[in-house]
Amino acid sequence: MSFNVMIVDDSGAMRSVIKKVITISGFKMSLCMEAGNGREALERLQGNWVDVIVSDINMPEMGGLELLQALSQDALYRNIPVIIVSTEGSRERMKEALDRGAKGFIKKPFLPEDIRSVLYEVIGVGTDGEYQDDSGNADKGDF
Amino acid sequence: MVNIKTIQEMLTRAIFEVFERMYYIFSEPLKGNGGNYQMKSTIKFSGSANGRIRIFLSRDIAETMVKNMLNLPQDEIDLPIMADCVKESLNMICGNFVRKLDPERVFDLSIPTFEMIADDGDQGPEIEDHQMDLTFVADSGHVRLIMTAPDML
Repeated sequence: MSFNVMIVDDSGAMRSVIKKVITISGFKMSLCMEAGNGREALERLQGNWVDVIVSDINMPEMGGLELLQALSQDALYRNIPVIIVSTEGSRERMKEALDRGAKGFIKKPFLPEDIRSVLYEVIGVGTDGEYQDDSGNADKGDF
Repeated sequence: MVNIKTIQEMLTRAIFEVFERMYYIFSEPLKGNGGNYQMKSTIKFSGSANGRIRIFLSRDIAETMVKNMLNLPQDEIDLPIMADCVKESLNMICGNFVRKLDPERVFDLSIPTFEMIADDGDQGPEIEDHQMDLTFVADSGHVRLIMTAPDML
């Protein structure tokens, strides 16, 4: 089982680093889409299936919190898990992101293992790339 | 009210964390202004305290940042990539600093701006009131940060 990932950040360098970290972590990624802000992300979602979105908050045109809001209002996209990767890490901001539907929060600057552990936890796969059931046992069934 | 020494320590730690974690650049504080700055980036923050942080860097240190962060060969490093890395570094430094300053409340950060500055050994502007000036030295050059924050300094 491999996954489609979308990385949303206005820094191309940061998108490249996040993509590299995800790849090196062994996470099975079949497609990696990129967007420079929330509006671009919504455009690229049309006609494409994404299993998880990794998004910054502070971006021009449409930020990560507005993206979360837009996704939550769309029946097709509201269940796509979103992980926020941001410099903005106050407790109030983290709560705001989680209240708007974010499933994980990583503060920049991050260590590679921060991305890896939150991504695996949010998408529900073990380090072997297999889905885990609630007991932590790998579920090798088709999803 | 946080005292100036604590603010200086917070800003210094923010710089170390960003440069070490993201760019594998290890630096030390330097007395004086350093020099040979060719790039400048600026960000503003607002919240329970307000201010502006400017970062000044040499082209060599910006190249090292790109090389270390993206593992790019020298011939693929161009100005737009360096500008992107410099702006993102300042974004992270500022975000990291305000989290240390007030972990509870939200700060709004502006989108960082970038500009090339005259390559004449410019050491950046003279320090004025309500400013904090920190300079660091690494293998590939100097980094200077000037924070303007009338609320705190």
